[in-house]
Amino acid sequence: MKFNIIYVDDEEKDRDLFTLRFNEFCKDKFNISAFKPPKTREEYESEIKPQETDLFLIDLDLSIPEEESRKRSIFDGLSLAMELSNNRPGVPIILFTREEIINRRNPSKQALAIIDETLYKGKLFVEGTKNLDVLYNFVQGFKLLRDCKEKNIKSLLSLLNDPNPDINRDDLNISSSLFNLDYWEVSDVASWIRRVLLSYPGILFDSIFCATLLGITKDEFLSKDIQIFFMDAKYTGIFAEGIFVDNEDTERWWKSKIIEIVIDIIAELGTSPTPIKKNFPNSLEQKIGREIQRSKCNSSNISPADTVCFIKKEPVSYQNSLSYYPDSRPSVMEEARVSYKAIQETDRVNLNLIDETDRELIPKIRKMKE
Amino acid sequence: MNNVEELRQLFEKLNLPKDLHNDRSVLTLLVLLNLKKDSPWEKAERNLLGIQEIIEKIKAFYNVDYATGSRESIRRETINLFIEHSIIEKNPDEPTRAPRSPKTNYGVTKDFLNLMKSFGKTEWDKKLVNFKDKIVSEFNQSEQGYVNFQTDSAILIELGEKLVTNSSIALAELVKNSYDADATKAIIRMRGISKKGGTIIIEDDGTGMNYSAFIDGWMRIASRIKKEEPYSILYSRKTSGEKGIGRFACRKLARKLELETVSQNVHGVKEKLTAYFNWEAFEEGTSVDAIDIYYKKEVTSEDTPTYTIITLKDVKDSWNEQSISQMQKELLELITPKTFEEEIKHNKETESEEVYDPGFEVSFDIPEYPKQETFLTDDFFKNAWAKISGCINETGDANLKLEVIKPYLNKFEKSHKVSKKFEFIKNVDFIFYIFVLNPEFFINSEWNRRKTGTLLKIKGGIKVYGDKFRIFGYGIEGDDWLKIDADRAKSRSGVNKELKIYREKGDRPGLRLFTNNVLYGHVKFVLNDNMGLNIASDRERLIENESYDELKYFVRLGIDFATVLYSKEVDEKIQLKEEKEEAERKAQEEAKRKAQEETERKVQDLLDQATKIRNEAKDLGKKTTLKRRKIEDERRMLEIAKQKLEEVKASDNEIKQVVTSISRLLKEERIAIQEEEKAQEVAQKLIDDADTLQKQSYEYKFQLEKERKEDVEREKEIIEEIFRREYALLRALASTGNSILLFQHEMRILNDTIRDLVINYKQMLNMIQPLEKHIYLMSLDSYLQRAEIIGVFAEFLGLAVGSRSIHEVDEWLILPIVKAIVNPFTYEFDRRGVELIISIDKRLRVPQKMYRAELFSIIYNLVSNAYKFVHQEQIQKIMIKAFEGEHGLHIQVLDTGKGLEKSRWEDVFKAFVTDSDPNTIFGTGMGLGLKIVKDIALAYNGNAQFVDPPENWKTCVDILFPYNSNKEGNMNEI
Repeated sequence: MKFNIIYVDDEEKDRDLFTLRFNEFCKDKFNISAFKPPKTREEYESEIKPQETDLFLIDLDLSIPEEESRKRSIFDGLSLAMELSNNRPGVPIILFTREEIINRRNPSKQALAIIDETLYKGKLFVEGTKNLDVLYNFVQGFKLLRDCKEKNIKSLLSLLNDPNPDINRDDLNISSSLFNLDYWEVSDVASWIRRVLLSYPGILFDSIFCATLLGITKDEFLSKDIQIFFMDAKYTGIFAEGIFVDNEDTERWWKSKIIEIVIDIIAELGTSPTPIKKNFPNSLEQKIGREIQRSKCNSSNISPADTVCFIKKEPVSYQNSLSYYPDSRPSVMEEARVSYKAIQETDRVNLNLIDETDRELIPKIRKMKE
Repeated sequence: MNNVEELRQLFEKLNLPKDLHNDRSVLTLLVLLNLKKDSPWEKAERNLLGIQEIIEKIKAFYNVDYATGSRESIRRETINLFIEHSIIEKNPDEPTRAPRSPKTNYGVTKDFLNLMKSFGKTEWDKKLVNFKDKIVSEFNQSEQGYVNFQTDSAILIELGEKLVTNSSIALAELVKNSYDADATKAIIRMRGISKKGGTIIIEDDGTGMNYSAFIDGWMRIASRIKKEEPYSILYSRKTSGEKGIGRFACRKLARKLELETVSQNVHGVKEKLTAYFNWEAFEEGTSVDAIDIYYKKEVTSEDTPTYTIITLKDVKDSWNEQSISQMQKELLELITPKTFEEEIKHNKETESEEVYDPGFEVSFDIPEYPKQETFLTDDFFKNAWAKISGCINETGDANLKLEVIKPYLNKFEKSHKVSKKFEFIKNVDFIFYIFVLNPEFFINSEWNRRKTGTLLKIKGGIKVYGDKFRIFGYGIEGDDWLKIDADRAKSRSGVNKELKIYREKGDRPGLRLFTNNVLYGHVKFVLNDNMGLNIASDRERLIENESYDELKYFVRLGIDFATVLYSKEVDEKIQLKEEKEEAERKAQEEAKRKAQEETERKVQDLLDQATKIRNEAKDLGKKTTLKRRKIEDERRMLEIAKQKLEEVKASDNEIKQVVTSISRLLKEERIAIQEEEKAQEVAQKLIDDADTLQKQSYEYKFQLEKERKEDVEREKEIIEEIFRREYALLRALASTGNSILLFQHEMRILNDTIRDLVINYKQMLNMIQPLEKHIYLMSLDSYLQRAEIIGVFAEFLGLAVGSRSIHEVDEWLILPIVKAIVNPFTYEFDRRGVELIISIDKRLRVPQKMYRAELFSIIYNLVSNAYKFVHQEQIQKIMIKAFEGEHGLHIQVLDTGKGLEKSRWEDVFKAFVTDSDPNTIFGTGMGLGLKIVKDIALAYNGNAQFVDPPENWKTCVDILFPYNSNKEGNMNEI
């Protein structure tokens, strides 16, 4: 399936460049049409608004005047996005700009909430990234949501391919508390899937969380002979290609399904399933006949580790980590924690995001010897 | 067939050269015959046309356009060839017309006209044969004999205005002629030259020119006279102008030249010669010897002095004040100035002993611009710091000598034998004066510093003279032939290595290199001995070759020699001044201390004295009181006894005795009371005295306190001033910080853009050949690598001045900061073979909360210093270490550089003291780095110092940050 893109940019050079690139790299996936920013409301009404499209790519800075008339657009990227989100609900809008422009303009969070994603001009076509696949998956996801006839929990669950809808329904309900699951809007639900469900570990787990849950290392979890067991747990629903990030795992697994599979494996060997972290690696060793590396706390020798350090993305024990509040994740999600190691070996931990009582420990943690 | 074709066929029949068979030639001839395309041949007539008219006629008759620019080819390639074949003649109406006259015209010859008129008629064939015979016989006449080179007048242009492009040099060539004629003065008079068409007269009192000299010399181009007679007759002056181009050079100046000269011939008869030259007659295409020059020779009275007057009339260009002043300056310096006595000495060796050359002066008479440039007077040179002379002798050995004229500190003379043996040049001398534009040099002199400076700016520099005459291009304003200004500007630290022996350790004389505008002098060489030193024919430069290089080397060595000696003087003077100031300061402090001690002693004395007096007073009072009391007691006892006696009714006598005693005692008592009162009075007075003394001592003490307080205040003020200055610097740096943030921002965008570009071009490269593609891909990759470095730099700047770095205090980790600092330089370090070792535990933090920018600044400064130290060494190693010691955290940076003497360990922490060499990565230090490092360390109660480096290392800087006093508990408590 081929999707249409409407691309609005004030710079002719970029309009030409990216039209060329889209046609060069992914002609089979996208049909791109580039537009100058509308100078007047009439121009907007007649040229941009009526376009049948699956995606709007909007440059943030639209301040360069049109060459012939020397007139500037009445919009900037965000106001144009606002207009479009009202007029064309359900069609995703991506702010397509340069990293430095965002840094310089520093738009507010509320302003950015209007748009569905930010994409840097310099990064989209970088070799060796999956960004174009992600973009396709992104547009496809919105299309699936728009095409959904009944916008209720049932249709949503089927779009998510949830293998355990009964188990997960409550959690999903809680984590999506801001909108009505039985009568949802495309943009709300898309935002929730991408920014909550796929972003925070809890209902879905990324590889390091899965591995830690199972008491083994991430490498072991991702090894072929172990992955075989968890095929059914993998998230394959909409937006499965995840989010636009560099060098980060985009694969997710349903936590409930992982546990279900693990219990079966342990039970098969007649052992008590809990604690999973201890018993699963043993059972697995028996089952596949090789030694398996256990997960280990990055800040002590404790094994298996309890959770994952938010800063270092490494397993850590509760004992050697502190609660951390970097975002507003729903309570059904895993709590964020920072390891002592991160506190000792980086300056990236923002001490203000640690509980006040824990903050007093920082000097002592820093002075600990290895 | 039309006229054009018919004429072309005729050309073939006449066997005219192929070069003439073109349209241009045919059409030219047709218009000269006044024929249009279809006019019958019998209508032909002779049309006299200039070349421009030919072009216009062709356009009118045949509608063919020749650009005005093709005039020359019509003239050379058509007309001239026709002339050679007797088809066309020049100026048939006035054959004697001046060459290049605007009236010049061309017409067909009568024979050709006749021939053409008969075209197509019965007589044609016969006429054609006749004409053909005629032109063949004229053109191919068989003959033999001798031919001469023809000298086209264009040679004069080549010799004159083309060779000499500068008006002053043109005049100079004439003035040289005066010198060669043993003149003692030459006067240059100029009239009406503020506009074109003026007159210039060069007048001298030389020996003049007789008829034979005029014919064999003046009238002969490239005359050998001067070559054969290298010395002048009267004063044996070495003659100049070997090519004798002076008179032609004047063509540049004026259109006409008149020569008037009186000389004495061999028979002792005075002969006056006049001649007139109209240069306009010598136009290109004419033969030089074809043009007549009018002259007149007559005998004059015997008492007429000899002289030469050359009058240049109808001057081509106008002169303004600036060009006049420039010309005067250059002519005044044309001949080595008299100021250099060595010059005269040198002359004496070559002169015959009887005739002493009275010298040669040039003066000016220019009423329109009366301002005269003058020679520098001797007084001027009395203000120089030193005179330096150098000479390369016959065998190529060279010596330098410096004599101090006006001491900066010491008056001395120093000679130096140059180690290099000169291969290509010999008999070269230079003398120059070095000025130090320091006011104290100009006390009691009519020259003040500013005047000298201005003059030096205009006239300074080192000029070059070949034999006696100036080679103009050197030592003029803006010329830096010795590259001294350039080296000074670059702060090149080195002077010639062979002068090392005169240097003090640690001084950097290169920084004091004299610039052109404090030097005045010349270098002079004998042309005959230095065949390699060729004067370019424009008379402005020497041709650059090995000889020239040696000349440059020699003079520059002289300047370096002076520089080294001067630098030593300056250093010594500074040191003396410092020592003197230090001694004065110490003496002052000592005197003050003594005065204060004296005062303190006085205060104590006064207090002691007061106490003593008080005690005395007390004693005195006590004594008299006791005495009085004793008497009083005695008296009372007697009164009681008297009472008792009266009670027992003792005898009167007895009572009387007692009464007598009592009255005696009463008397004594009265005296005692008086004594007591008196003593009290004295005591009071003594006490008053003591009080005064005490008061006085208090005053002294107060004074002393006040003085001490003032001292403290003064010190405080000084410290405040230092703070103010540091704040000013910080403010400046803070603004730089902002611009760096902008810069960082720009760099990030640039980085982005570069990546973008690379993607584009890689895409484009897919379309070209694999081999080329590989090359381009490689260059793209290196471009990308640079872009990454830019990216790292942007991060680096962010860390240095970013908001977290200057607003947030923390006990920062050291390792990430060190890595961020060295990262941008690893590429350069690798390339230059600098080995960098980092030995820092990844958990090590600074023990106190500080700004990251401070830590950054410390490490950056130390690493950049270390790099500056090692970058010219063979082994280039830098180590950055951090560890916890007994008293605190140590950060150390070690290097294998040139090392630093222990005596300077303290010094280099002072502001603006620098010991590092400038280099391409970190640039030249301002000498602030280590001061900053130390200040930051001190601000945290720490220290920065050099310590003895471990084996195999040359320098080690140690920074100490003491542990925070409120010790944190042990981790086991958690």
